Amino acid sequence: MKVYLDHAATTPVLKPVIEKMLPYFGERFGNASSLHFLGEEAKEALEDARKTIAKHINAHPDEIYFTSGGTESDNIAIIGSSRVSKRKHIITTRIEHEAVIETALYMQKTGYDVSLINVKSNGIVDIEELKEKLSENTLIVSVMLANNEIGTIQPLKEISEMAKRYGAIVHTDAVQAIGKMQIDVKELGIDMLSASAHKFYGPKGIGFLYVKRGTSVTNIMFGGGHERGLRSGTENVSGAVGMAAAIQFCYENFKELEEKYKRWKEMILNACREIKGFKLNGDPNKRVVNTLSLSFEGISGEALAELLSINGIAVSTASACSSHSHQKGVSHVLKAIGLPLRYAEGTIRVVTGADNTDEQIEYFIKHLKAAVSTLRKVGGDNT
Amino acid sequence: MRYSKILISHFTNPQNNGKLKDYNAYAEGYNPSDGDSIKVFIQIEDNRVKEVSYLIKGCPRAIASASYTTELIKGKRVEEILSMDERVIREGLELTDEKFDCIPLPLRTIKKAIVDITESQS
Repeated sequence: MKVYLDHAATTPVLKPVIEKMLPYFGERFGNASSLHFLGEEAKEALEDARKTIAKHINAHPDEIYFTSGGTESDNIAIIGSSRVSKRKHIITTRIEHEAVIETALYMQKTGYDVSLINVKSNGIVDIEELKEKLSENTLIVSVMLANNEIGTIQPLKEISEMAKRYGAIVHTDAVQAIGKMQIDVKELGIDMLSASAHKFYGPKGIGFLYVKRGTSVTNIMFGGGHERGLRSGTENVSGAVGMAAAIQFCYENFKELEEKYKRWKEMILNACREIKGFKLNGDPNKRVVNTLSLSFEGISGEALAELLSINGIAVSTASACSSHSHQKGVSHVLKAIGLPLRYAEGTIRVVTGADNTDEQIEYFIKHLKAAVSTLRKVGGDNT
Repeated sequence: MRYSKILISHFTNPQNNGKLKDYNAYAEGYNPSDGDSIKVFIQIEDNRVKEVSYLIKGCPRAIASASYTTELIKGKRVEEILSMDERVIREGLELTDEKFDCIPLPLRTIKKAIVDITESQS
């Protein structure tokens, strides 16, 4: 049996999504900027996709900008806003994806002041610390909506309200949140949001940046002025069509998917609780329901993931001893929540998805228990 | 990561794992660069390794290496083991990238156990 439980890394493109995309590789291959009938057809598909995406996050279609994915969206949000402001302070957190952290650190090298806010042991950002760092000089506050490793959901609404008092832009990397939680950009009060289609059953190489009307941000790439000047480059029409079909799938089937994820979460956690030295990382309630970071004391998460992989189960590990520095091998997120090394080393990430079945989860549980027991036995712990 | 068949075979079915009932050489090894830890138990008779076993907490490479290394040294003279090059293990497991410090850990620990017992006897 093959069981894919790594849906935070990427997801399969669903068949209905592929079917909607296919014509745009073939008979409807036009460039959306062309004025002839093929161009018009492509433009229409692109704008329909924009409307669909906007509807599902409660935005206006003209607030959606197509990009190549989450990394590009994050870069435009941070670098692009810096180019039209005199403010020189960036706030983000220690548990952000590298697309945000590395961009912020690049900005630091160019003279910006960067504050990396700590998170509490439950993986939720320290609001008080963030509040203290805010000033009239704060350009942007970038806090992810859902964490990619431990799944914790950050209090964006509260953060937006605080940041607005200082006139700072609020950006969120929602790459791991789209499709897994209801998102209303107006309710959250945010100015920008990044998303990537391949994390929610769409194709790779396409994403979007939501930019609230009136937000000061400019292009960081130069070219033909596509996407109203914010992102030059011939539009990825098939990708946009696929991304729209994928977001539609997620929200049209939201309740059904959520119920399945909840059921699987309980099945997995109930089984894990029977294992000695088990720990669930991140707040037990404020989290996307399909993402579980599981730690087993005293074993290697890499060995555990490898044993599961040999049995056809794909999960990811949060720690790998492939680097020269052991500490470096443990993920920055597990370090940020202060997880002791003996747990951090034995951590795997399990992320369920729309393509999983009850039978697959049972198969995973069976092999997880066996693998933990095997590794403990090899280490001399027979309990 | 894609591993060789031999590495996977030793990882999934580690040989000589456990604690020997009778042993006269013992050492613990720890690799601070990647967190693996090992305990080795050796029974040396007539200057040869009669039996060897280990308990290990580590990554797939470290576990496979412990299994492979202990198979390799069984029956060998202690001088031969002490002069054994780590590259023999790396080549045997078909993972010659030297960034993996986990591969030589079992051999280093076995050598330490042999040196300790030899020094205490002399």
